Amino acid sequence: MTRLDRPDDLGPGSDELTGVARDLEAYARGTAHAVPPELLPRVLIAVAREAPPTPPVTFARAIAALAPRDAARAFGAMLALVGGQRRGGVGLRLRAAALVVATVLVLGSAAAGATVGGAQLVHGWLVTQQGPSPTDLVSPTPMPSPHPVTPTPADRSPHPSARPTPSGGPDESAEPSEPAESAQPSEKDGDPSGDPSDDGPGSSGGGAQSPGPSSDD
Amino acid sequence: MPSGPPVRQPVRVTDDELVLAITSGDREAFATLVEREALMVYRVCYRVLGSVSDAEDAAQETFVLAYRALATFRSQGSLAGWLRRIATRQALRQAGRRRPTVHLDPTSPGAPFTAAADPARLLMSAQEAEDVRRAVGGLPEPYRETVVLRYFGELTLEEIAHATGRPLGTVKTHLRRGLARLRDSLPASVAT
Repeated sequence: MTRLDRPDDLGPGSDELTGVARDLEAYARGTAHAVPPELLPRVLIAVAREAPPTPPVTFARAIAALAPRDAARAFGAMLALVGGQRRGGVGLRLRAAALVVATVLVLGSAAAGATVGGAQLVHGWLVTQQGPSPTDLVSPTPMPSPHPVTPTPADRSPHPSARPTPSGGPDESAEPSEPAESAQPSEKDGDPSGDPSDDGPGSSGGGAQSPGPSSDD
Repeated sequence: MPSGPPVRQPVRVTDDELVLAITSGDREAFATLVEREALMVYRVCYRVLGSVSDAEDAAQETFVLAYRALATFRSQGSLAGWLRRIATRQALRQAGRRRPTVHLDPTSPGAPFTAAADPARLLMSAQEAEDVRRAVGGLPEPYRETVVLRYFGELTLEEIAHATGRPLGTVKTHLRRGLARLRDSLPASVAT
């Protein structure tokens, strides 16, 4: 009794398919030929040209063929070889170990690179999302503080020159000419505790305080 | 005491032992595997292709492919089932590349239904065999693979489940649906 003679249990309603199954079985029996004698030598000659199917060779082939499942299985076989669960010569084990190490290094560096790149992307995205609003709010606030603070008697000499009053021109015309440059160091030497309101038109006359430092630049 | 050449006893080796030996570079072990499995691999190929020379080519290619991929063989299933699945795919691929032919040589071991001596009967038998091959080859996957493994590869449903990694219930469903489609596609002269 061959396997073809064993009826399959295909579940309910399969009786009507028995006839088709019998036809297929009859076809199979009519074609149950012996193997041609030349097949075995042919196969062995063809295989003699192939590299032995060791796990490292199979792994390399799978990588070259872009077959990740086969590569994963071959990698598992290499691990078994390195770990001693699988039989193999010393040379084969060394080759497998070298490939395992190389693979781990490549995968590790690729994963690290992907992580860093991803983090940079996320960081960049967060900066673009949140960055502008804090700088806009913060930058104006520190600017006014140096100018108003300066009004010590020693420093007053440059300020009048910058003031619109002597020149008689508008505030804007006075600003570019830079007493502000000489004024700034003296401001640091002067009384830092001065109230901006004490400075009079020197700072307030420039309108917004920001133009002062910006003209220095 | 009789003396003579030592009789070589066939050694029973398990699938795992064979695979380990071959993947360690033992070509003798591969020859053992080919001797053991060549018959069914060849038959699967012949039943799909219907030609001795094509079946030989497909069987050879099957063993070469198996040799290259042997390190990826998983020992959950049988080596025979794994090889017959490769043979099935290789033969079907080869069948898809060539033009259909009907072989009529009654002396060929590959001639279908050689019991028929009458040329008219022989032609009919050859045509019926070709109809069976064409109908099976025209099945969609995965029904085609399941039907070929069951009837051309002579695997049990459990072995097909192991070889394909599919649940047994799924294999049964695929076989039932494949047979139902064949019932509709096989000519009445065959499906009697």
